[in-house]
Amino acid sequence: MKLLTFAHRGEAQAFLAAFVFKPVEFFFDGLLKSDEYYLLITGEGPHTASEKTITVLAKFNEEITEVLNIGVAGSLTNKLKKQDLVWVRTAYAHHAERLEFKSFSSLNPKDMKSPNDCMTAFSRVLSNEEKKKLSHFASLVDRELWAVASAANLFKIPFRALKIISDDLTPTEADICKFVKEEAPLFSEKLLTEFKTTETETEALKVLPIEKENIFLSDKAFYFTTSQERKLQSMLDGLKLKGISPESLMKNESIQKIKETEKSPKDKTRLLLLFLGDQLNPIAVKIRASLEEILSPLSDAKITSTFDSAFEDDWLNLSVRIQSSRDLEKVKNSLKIFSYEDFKKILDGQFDV
Amino acid sequence: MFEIIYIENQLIDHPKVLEILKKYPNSEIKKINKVEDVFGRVKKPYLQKRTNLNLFLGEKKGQLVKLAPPAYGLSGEPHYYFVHAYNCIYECNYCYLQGYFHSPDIVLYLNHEEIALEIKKVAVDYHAKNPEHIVWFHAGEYSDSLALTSLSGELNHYFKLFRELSNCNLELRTKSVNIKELLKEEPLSNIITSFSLSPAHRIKSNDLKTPPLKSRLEAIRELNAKGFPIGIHFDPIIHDEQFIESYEELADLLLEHIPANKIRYISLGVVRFTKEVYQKVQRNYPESDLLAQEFVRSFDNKIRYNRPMRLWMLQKVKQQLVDRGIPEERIYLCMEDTELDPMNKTND
Repeated sequence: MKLLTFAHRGEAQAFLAAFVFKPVEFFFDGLLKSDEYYLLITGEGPHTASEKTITVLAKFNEEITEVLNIGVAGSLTNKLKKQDLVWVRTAYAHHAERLEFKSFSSLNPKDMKSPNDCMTAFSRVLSNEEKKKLSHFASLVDRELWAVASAANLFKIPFRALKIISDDLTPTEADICKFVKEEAPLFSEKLLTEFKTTETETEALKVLPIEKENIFLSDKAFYFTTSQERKLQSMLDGLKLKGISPESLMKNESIQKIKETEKSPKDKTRLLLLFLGDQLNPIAVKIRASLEEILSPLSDAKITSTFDSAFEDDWLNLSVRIQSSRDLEKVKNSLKIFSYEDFKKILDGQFDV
Repeated sequence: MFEIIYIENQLIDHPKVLEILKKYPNSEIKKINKVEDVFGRVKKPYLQKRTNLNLFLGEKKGQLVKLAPPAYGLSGEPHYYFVHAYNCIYECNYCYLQGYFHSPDIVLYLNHEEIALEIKKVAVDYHAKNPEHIVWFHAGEYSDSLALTSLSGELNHYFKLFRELSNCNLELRTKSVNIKELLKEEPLSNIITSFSLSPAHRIKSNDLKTPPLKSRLEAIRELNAKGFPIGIHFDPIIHDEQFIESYEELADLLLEHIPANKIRYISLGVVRFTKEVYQKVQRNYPESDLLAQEFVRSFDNKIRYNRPMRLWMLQKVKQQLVDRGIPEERIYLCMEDTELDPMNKTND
C-alpha cells in the first residue's frame, strides 16, 4: 500500500473525493486510509512533514511499500511554467543559509530520467535573490519533499514526488493564501489525473516479482542464525553473479553429501557456508591447498601449523607436543624436509592455477 | 551534452569560455562566484551523469601541483600531479571518482598559465637539490587527460612548458581516442601519452562509455607513427576465467599496433577499491561481476585480491609481456604494498 503525503488538504481534495478515505485513529489528525492508499496531511514545512511521516511509517511501515509526496512547488527556472506537472528526480534541502549535504533520489526509472530536482526550503522563498541562489541546485522549490524523502529513506522505503508548478514568478504571502483558496481545486485535479495515469501505466507494466523462497533456509537439514542467513544470502548473490543458481547448487553432489552427513543442522550449515565460500573463491582454495601440501611434512609429524588466513602476512606458527625421543626425531626430520622458502613463494604468488 | 554551464564571474569574457559557449548554444548559463560555491555542495548521485551533466568553468586555487602517492609511476623518481579538471565523461564501474567529489559534474579549470608557473617552480626547486633526477608530472589524476581536450584546449600550454623543462616528463593518461588536439603539437620526447588498456570484453563490461580496445589501439598506432612517445597501463587487471588467455591476446594485439621497443613503459596494477568506493560499486552496479571477485579487506583496509593472488596475476601478465620482447626494466608493477614487490625482493 502506498502512502500519499500532502502539505495541505487543498492539494489533496481531488484525491479525497476520488477514493473512499476514512480517518485513521492516530496520534494526530490528518491520517486517512482507503482500500488502496494511506493519505497523510503533513502540514506546511519540513519539520511537521518529517515528524508526521516518520510517525506514520514507524507504525505502518510493514504495510507501506512506497511513499509519495504530492503537491505544489515553485519554479526556479524559466523552463517550468505554472501548472506544469513534474516528477522529481532528487530532493535537496536548504536550511538557514546553508545547504544540507544529504540528498535523496527516486529510484523509479522514469524519475531518474527526469531533469528536475527539487529544493526543499526550510523557510518560504520570497525574494528573487533567494530563488537565484537555489536555482543553481534545483529547478523547483517546495517546503516538504526532502523531509518526507528522508523519512522514507530511514525506513528503507522508496519514495516518489509529483509536483505541480504553482508559480513562475516570485510569490508574495498574499499570493500563497490566494492559491490555497482559489487555485487548489484545479491543481489538485491535475495532480490526481497525472497520478492516476501513472498508476495505470505502472499497473500495466507491473511484472509481479516472483519472490522465490530461499531453498536453503527452508531446508530442514540446516539451521541458520541471523548472521549466517545474511552471509548465505550474500554468498548466493555472489554466486548468482557468477552464473550459479541456488537450484543448481542444491543439486550439487557435495551439498547433498553435507545434507546426508550425520551431523547437527548447525554443523551442516557451517559446512555449507564453507563450501559456498570455496565456490566463490576458487583461487583461494588452490592457494590454501598449495600451502597445505608444502606443510604436509609437518602435519605428518603431528606439527600443527597456522598461518595468516588472509594470506597477507609472512608468518608461520608451529606447535607440537613431544612425548618421546622418537617424537623429537620425527619433528627434526620433518623440519629438515620442510622448506620455508617454498611456503613463502606461494604467498608471493608463485604458484600454478 | 551539458545541461547547465556554470561560469565563474571573472571568466565570463575569457576567450576559452566564449569558445566553449559557442559549442553548447542550448546549455543554460549560470554565473557564480566560485566553482566551490555550487560544485559538490550537495550530494548529487553519480549516475545522474547519464541524464544530467553540468559543466563548471573556473580557476583552480590553492595548491596547484601536488606530490603523488608513493606507488605512483616508475619508482625511484619523484612524481607530482597537477589538477586542471575534475571528473570524467566516461563511466568505468570501478572508478574511484564515483565516491570522490559527491558530484559527477565536470569542472574545467582555465588558469593553465598559473598551473604551468607552479609546475616550473616545483621542477626548479626539486632540481636545485637533485639535479640528476627526472621529475615526473601527471595530468589527469581526477580526469581523463585527453577526453575533453578539444573543449579545454590546454595541451598547447603544457607542450610549450615541457619544451623548456627537458629534465622533466609529463604523462597524459587516457582511455580516450580523442587525439586531434595532440596531433596539432610537435611530439616531445618528455611528453608521454599513456593509454589504459584492458581486454576487449573487460572494456565492454567495465569501462562503460569509453572507446573500445580496437579504437584505442588505432590511436596508439597513429600517435606512435607520428613520433609521440607512448606508455601503456594494464590497470586495473580484473580476474576472470579467461584472464590468462585474454591478457595474452591483449599483449599480442598491442604489439601488432606498436613495436615493443617503442613502448616507453608498461605499468601493471590489479583492481582495488577503498571501502567507500566499493560500496558505491555495490550501489551503482549491483549486477557487475566485480562484486563476485575474490576480494579481501587488505592490509591498508582497501578491498583487493588476497596477496598471493594479486602477485600471481601481476607476475603472470608481466611474464607474458617479457616473453613477447618487452624489456623487463620497462615494466613496473603499480602496488601500494611496495615491500611485497617481487622485483624489489629479487634485488635483496
